[in-house]
Amino acid sequence: MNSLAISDSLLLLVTIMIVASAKHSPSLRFSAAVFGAAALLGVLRFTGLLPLPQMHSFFSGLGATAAYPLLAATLIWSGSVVAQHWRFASIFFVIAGAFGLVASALEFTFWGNLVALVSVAALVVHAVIAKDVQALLGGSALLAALILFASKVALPPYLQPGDFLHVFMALGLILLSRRARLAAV
Amino acid sequence: MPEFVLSPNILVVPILIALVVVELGISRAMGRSVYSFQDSITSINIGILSQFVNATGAVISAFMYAVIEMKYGTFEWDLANPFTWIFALLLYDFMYYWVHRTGHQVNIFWASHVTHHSSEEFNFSTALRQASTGFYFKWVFYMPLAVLGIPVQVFIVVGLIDLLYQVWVHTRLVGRLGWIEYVLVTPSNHRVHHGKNDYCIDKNYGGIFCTWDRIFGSYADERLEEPIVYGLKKRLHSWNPVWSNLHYWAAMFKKAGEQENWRNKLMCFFAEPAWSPDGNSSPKPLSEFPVADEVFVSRAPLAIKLSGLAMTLFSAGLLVLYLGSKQAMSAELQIFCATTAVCTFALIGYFWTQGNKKELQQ
Repeated sequence: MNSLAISDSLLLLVTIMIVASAKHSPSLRFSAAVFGAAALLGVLRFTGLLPLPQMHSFFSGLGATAAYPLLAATLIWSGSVVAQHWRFASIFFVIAGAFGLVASALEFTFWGNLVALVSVAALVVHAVIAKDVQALLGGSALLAALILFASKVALPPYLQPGDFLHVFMALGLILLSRRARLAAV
Repeated sequence: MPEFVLSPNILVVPILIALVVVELGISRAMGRSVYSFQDSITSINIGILSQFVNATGAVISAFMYAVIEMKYGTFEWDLANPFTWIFALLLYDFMYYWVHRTGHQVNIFWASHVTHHSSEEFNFSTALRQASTGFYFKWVFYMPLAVLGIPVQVFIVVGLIDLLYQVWVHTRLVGRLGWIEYVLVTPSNHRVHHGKNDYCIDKNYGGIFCTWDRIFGSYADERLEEPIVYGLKKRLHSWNPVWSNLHYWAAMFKKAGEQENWRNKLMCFFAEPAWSPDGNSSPKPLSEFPVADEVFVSRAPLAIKLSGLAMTLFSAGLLVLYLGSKQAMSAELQIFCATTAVCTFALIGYFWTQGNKKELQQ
C-alpha cells in the first residue's frame, strides 16, 4: 500500500458521506458520486487489490470534465433545476461528459484541466462576490488541489502529487458540502 | 463509375422490403387494413433519408466508440466465447433502454425521435421510419461498453442485432405471446409504446428485453378493450420526410424564442416534451386533442401518388448506389446524392400534401 491509496481512501470516505446524506442536493450528491467512483478505483489500483488504471483514468477524466462543472453549478446557482433535480443534474452531467469524451477522442488533453480549473475559479469568484467565507475556503481548497497536482508538487518519499489532489479535494468537498447544507437549512 | 461494394446495409434492404410485402399480403388475406399508401411510402422515404444521413452519423459513433475503447478499454474479451456476445448484447440493450427513454423524456432528444412516432399506422414500414438527427447524442450512452473494453466489432454486431430485432415487433398482425411477454419486447407491448392513448404514454422503451421496463417501472400491458390509436397527439399532417425530421425542432426553437427568461428557454430544450412555462409537465390527455376518424390520407390525384412512388424507387436506387460506392465517391458526389434524395423527398411531400390544403386550413 502507498500514500495514494490512503489519500484516495480519505477522498472516498468523504464522497460516501456526501452521497449518503439525503440533506444534500441531488447534484452535489451526483458530482460526489463521480469523484467517489474515481476514488474507489484509485484505492483498488493503489492498494493493488484490483488495478484498473484505464477505468480509473476514465472516471478521473469524467470528474474533471463533468463533475467539477456540476459542482460549481450546484453552488453558484443553488436554486436552479440542475441543483435541485436528479433529472437535470444527470442531463447536465451527460452533456458535459459528452464534450469531455469528444475532447479526449480528439486529443485535446488540456480540456479536462481547463474545465476543472474554470469551474473552481468561478466558484471562488462567486464566493468572493457573495462574501461567503465557507464557500471561499472550500473553493480555495479545490483550487489548491488542482494547482498543486498540475504543478506536480511532492514531498518525497512521503507524499506524491496525487496525494495533494486527493487531500485538498476531500477538504474542499467537506467545506462545500457543509456550506450547501447550511444554505439548504 | 466508382467501385460498388455490397455492404450489409444494402443486403438488409431487400429483406426489409420483403417483410413489408409479406405483411401487406397477409393482412389482405386476413381482410385487415394495416397499410395506407402514403403513410407507408413516407415511412420508407424517411428510412431512406435517415440512411443517407446516418451513413455519416454511424461513422462518427463508431469512431468515438473505437477511440474511447482504445484509450480506456479495461478488460480483454474473447470473441470466440459466446458469453462475450451475450453479455455485450444484454448491456447494449440495457443502454438502449436508457437512450430510448431519454429520447422520449428530454425534449431536445424527443425532437429527433418524434420522427419514428409520426406514423399513424403501425406496420413493418413504421420500423423503417427512423430519424435522421439522432446520431448526435446516442453514442454517449454506449460508452460504458467501450470503457469495459468490448471490441468495436462486437458493439457494431450487437447494435445491428438489437436494431433488426425491433423490426418484427412493428406489426398489428401478431397477438399476445403468452409468457414471452414477460421477457421480450413483442408486437403487443410495442404497440403500447407507439400508442397515443393516455395509458400508452412513456411506456415500454425496451429494445429486445422488456425486463428493463419492468424493473424501472415503465411497463404497460396492451389493453385489448381499448383500441390503440397510433401517431402523435399533435398530428404531423405531412408526407414530407424532411419536414417530419425538422418540424419538432422548429416548434421547439419557436417555443424557446417566445420565453421571456433564460431558465424557461433552456427548459424548452431539456424539460419533458409536455413542459409548459406554468411548470406543468404532465402530458395532456388524448381527449383534449381533435378526434380523427381516419388516418391522414392524401387527396392528391392517383397520377401524383404514383409519381411519388416512382420517385421513391428512384431514391431507393440512389441509396443503394450511394451505400455501395460511398468509399470510392468524392465528397462532392456524396453530397450531390444526398441532396438529390432530400429534394426528391421534399417534392413528393409537397405534391402529396397539395390536395389537403383546404383540409389543413380548417
